[in-house]
Amino acid sequence: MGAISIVCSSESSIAAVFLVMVFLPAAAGAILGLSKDNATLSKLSMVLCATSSAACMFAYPVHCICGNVSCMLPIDSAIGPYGILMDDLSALMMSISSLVYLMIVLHMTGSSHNTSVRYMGAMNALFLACVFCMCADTVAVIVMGWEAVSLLTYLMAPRFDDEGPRWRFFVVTHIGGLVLLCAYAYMAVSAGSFILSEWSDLSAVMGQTVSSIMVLMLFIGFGSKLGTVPFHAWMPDMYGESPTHTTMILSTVCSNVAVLLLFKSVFGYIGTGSDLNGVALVLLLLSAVSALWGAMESMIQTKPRRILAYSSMENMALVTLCMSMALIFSSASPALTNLVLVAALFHTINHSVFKSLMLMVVHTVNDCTGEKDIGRYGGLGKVMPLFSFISIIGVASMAAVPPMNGFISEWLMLQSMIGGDASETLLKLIMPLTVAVLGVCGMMAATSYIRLYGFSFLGRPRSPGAASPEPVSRIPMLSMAVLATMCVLLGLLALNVTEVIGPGVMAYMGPGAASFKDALSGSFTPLSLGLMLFGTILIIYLIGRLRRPESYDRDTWGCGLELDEDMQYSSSGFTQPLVRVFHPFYGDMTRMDTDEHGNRTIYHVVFVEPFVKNIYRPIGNAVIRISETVGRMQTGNIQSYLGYILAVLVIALLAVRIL
Amino acid sequence: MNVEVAIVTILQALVMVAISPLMAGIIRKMKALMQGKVGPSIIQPYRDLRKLMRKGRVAGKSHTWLFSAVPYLCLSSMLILALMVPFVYVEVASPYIDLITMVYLFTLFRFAMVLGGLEGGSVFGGMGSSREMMMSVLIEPALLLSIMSMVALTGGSTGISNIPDVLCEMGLAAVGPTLILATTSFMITLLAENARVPFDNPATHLELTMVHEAMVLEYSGRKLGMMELASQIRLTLFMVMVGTLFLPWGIATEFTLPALVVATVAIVAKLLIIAAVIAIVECTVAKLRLFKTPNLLTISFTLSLLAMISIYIL
Amino acid sequence: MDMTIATNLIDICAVSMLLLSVLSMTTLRMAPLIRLFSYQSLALGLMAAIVAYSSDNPHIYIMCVLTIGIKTILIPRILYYVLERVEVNNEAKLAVGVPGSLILSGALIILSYFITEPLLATLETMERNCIAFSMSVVLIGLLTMVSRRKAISEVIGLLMMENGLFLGALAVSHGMPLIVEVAAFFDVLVALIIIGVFIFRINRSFHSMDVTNLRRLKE
Repeated sequence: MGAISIVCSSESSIAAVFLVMVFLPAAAGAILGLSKDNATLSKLSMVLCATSSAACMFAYPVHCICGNVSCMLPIDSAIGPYGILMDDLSALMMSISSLVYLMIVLHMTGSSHNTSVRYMGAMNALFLACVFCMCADTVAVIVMGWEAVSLLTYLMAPRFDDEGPRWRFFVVTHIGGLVLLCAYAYMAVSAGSFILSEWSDLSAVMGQTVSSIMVLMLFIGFGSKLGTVPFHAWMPDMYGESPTHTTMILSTVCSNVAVLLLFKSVFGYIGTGSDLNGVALVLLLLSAVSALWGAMESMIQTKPRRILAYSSMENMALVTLCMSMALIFSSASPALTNLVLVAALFHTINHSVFKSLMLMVVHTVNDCTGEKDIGRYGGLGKVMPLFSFISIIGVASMAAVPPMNGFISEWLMLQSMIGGDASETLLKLIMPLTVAVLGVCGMMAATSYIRLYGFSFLGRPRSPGAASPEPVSRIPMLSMAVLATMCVLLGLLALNVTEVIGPGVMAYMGPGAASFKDALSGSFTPLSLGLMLFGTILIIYLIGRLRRPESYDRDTWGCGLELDEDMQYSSSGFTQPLVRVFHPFYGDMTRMDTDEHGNRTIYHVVFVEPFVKNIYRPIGNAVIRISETVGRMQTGNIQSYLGYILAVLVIALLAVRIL
Repeated sequence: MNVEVAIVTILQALVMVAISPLMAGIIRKMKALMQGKVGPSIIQPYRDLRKLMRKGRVAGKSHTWLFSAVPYLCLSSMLILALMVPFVYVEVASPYIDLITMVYLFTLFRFAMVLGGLEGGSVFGGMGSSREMMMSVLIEPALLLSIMSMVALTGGSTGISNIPDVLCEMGLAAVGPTLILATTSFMITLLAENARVPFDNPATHLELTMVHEAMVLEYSGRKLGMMELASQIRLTLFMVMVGTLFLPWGIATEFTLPALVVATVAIVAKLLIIAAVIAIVECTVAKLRLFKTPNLLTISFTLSLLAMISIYIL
Repeated sequence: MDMTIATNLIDICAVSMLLLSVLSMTTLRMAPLIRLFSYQSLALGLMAAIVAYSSDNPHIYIMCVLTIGIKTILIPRILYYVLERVEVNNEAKLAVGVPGSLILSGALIILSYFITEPLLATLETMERNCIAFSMSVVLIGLLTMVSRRKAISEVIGLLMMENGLFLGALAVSHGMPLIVEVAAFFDVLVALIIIGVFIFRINRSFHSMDVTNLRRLKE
């Protein structure tokens, strides 16, 4: 340890203690993961992970006390030294992400899940990788951390009968990783340094074309994790099949990492010095398509986790939409750029909180009822009122209902879109369209969340499991309650949170940055809205208390029939009208089958991802065709190989001579 | 904000809440007269509400706490909006809330009501909720865009009192394509959002086409009364919004007695005219088949998009 | 007249023309389609009157009278007559659904604004704003022709395109020279008559006005 020199702006030992507390337990836990499976060891590993993440929650307070914490190892690698730097924004993200991580670990303790030593070791290692990524200061750390995140999440998804989903994830994220590696390498060469904090405004060095390509590569690289179209095909399967806790980390903490790194790289390192409108438009279009597609697909899924997978895709697409808007705004108004970036980062934070809450809810519902299909739930709210209350907070946040946190970030996004002083033609045309996209997406997403909640918790039970669910144990309930409280607090205290994010964003936008508040065109205090809501409800209640008529509970009216479990609205019927309205986008859905005797025709509604059908499969087929051609060239004859070499040599020499 | 303004704000909110059953009664009466019927008295909705408020509730056995919470949420979101929407005087409690929040408070109402529809575990409630969500996917962006285009027309501030302020100052010069397009779009959303005729029939129950009534089917007694009152307030709020946000001329921009009197007369006249328009539409247009409603809603959506774009084109 | 009010009135006319074009994308029946066209021509006529009044150009009044006389009254009459005579199921068939064609027309409006935007700066007249509208009316007319399969709706699409062109002419240069305008009106009438005859022929040969039947002529 002596080799590490801790540089702390105020020379205090707090930073050192903090770093040790964050890294040591998790590292120990990761090493424990290599040992033989043992219940005690796995408990120990879990405790270590919880300790680390609990310590890491103090990242922001530590940053407040002793400023930027940085640490550089005196070892060199092929791609520069190893070093970390925890600045304003990183600290904030680390605090929120580790809170989520802690809750996920807590939730694991009470759930019927794979908690082998291996899995816990991977959890520890993944935590380390995420933290390293968030506070990376050199190319080596960022690239290795990112690769570790991809690899560990891959390992944390167990083998299924069908290896497809895991492989798709592996391939897509590694393509993304490769693209990122290339981008960072090029940027390092242009900047002449491997230390990220020394990079700034690279666009001036690289020129317009190259920086556009770099931005595009960064978006593709990180977008592959965020599920931007067309790199989203792995998402639903991976989310649906892998253990929920892997899914939670993938969808919340990893997304946080990706958004933070994307923001830092695009706006901090490349900068907005040159005109990037062209690439921004492309990204805007991709994000809008992803958002709409995610929202549309999430309405029709039957597995709760797939609903949430598509909803993650939609939410992250909104974040990238904001970032591309920021690229467009950057030439017109710095205040507006900051506002839209604050909206994006705030939405990322909110997403990590409510999405982990909802994944926990889905997992718990799954555990309690033993059913995996949304069509088999129902009536859980009657048996578990507290659980139902916690879940509705998550649902309301996701559906952007005021005064929850999801609403605040949508409010900020809309503010930034309307606030644009439209002087450029491009902006004038884009703003109404993005507002429309936000509106449509928001309502579609709300539909799918209402469906998720309504058909799990309301109505009458649709299966024996849902009729008599097992009770939820205390610790998972506690972790969900904490996250639900966070949802409410992030909503009500949104002004304070944006106050914290704002300077962090400004620090990266270079000198001359204006405060995001200058771009706000309306004022709104969530706290007073919450108070008014509470107050009016209280008043109505008190007036109602004056005289209370009697009330009765009876069987639901069923036109004189006994209602059985299937005689209520079904979850697929709920979104059927919307599917009919938007049927051109869903493609051909009905499939006809005959049963085993071959005499009855059964109609199925099957949704096939058009992106898979129209992009992935043709590419796959083309690759197979090319490799078959190449295979034919592989005759195995040594003379023909030499012939190839001769031909290539001749061509290369000619090329050198001519060029 | 000084004390008088606060008093006026609360007073006008109370007035809006108080007259909303009356507005429903007036529209019903106008419709009846146009169809050559006598029709119920215009104060019939008050009598209905009084009757409902006295009765106890009967609920399905599967109901949860949410069933009781929904009417409170619906009513309170509407009460907050009544405090925020300008009625006779421009300055309202605008520092606390803006137009975007206003749109989303309607979303809160819808969210609560749709969940309430799913609560009973009957087929009708789910059907109503499902249809409501189908429509709202198209209503919401239209509503957002039409209000946003008014915001853009009046200089980009989303404060509520800004729109009437600026429009009154601009006078007739404000009457342009944007205003007309946005108002038309908003009128269509008004009909759709409040379950009026081309989209839904407020007068019938137990039709296979119903939307709004299906969602509140499981409610009874006082809870039903609260839901009905909330829906009536919503209709009145939408009408007031047409009268003060889209066509605000006459509203009091300064706090003087003559201005307030003029504003009161103006808003009453506007509300009556809008009620007449709704009644005429309901008498002359047939209810659309459910899967035809997206056509009309897309028109509203396109109109509001055009309204927004026309600000920039012109 | 106050200039801003005049500009606003002109803009309202132009917008209502565009609006009627957009609405024509949603009507499935022939009779309302013809009615929409006649309203659109009325809006064009009114706009011509306002332009004539505000820019003090009396010859535009002639155009106004011609527009209202021929396009608002005469042509719809002829079309109604044709419609009555053909007496087929007058529901228009759409190649694209209603919401789809509405969204397409929205896209076309944005596109035409994007295309005409550089032109705007070069013009000084107060009607210059209408160029984007005129282009959108033309494009949407074309879209009507593309997406509808009935012969009458094709005619209406053509006539709406024509309206769009007149709107453009008004906007750019306060209308074309009088002689050109009059000639154009007669062109339209002649074209209408020829097309009307064609419709009768199509109907008699195929017992339907569906122009997709014309594809059979290829074989």
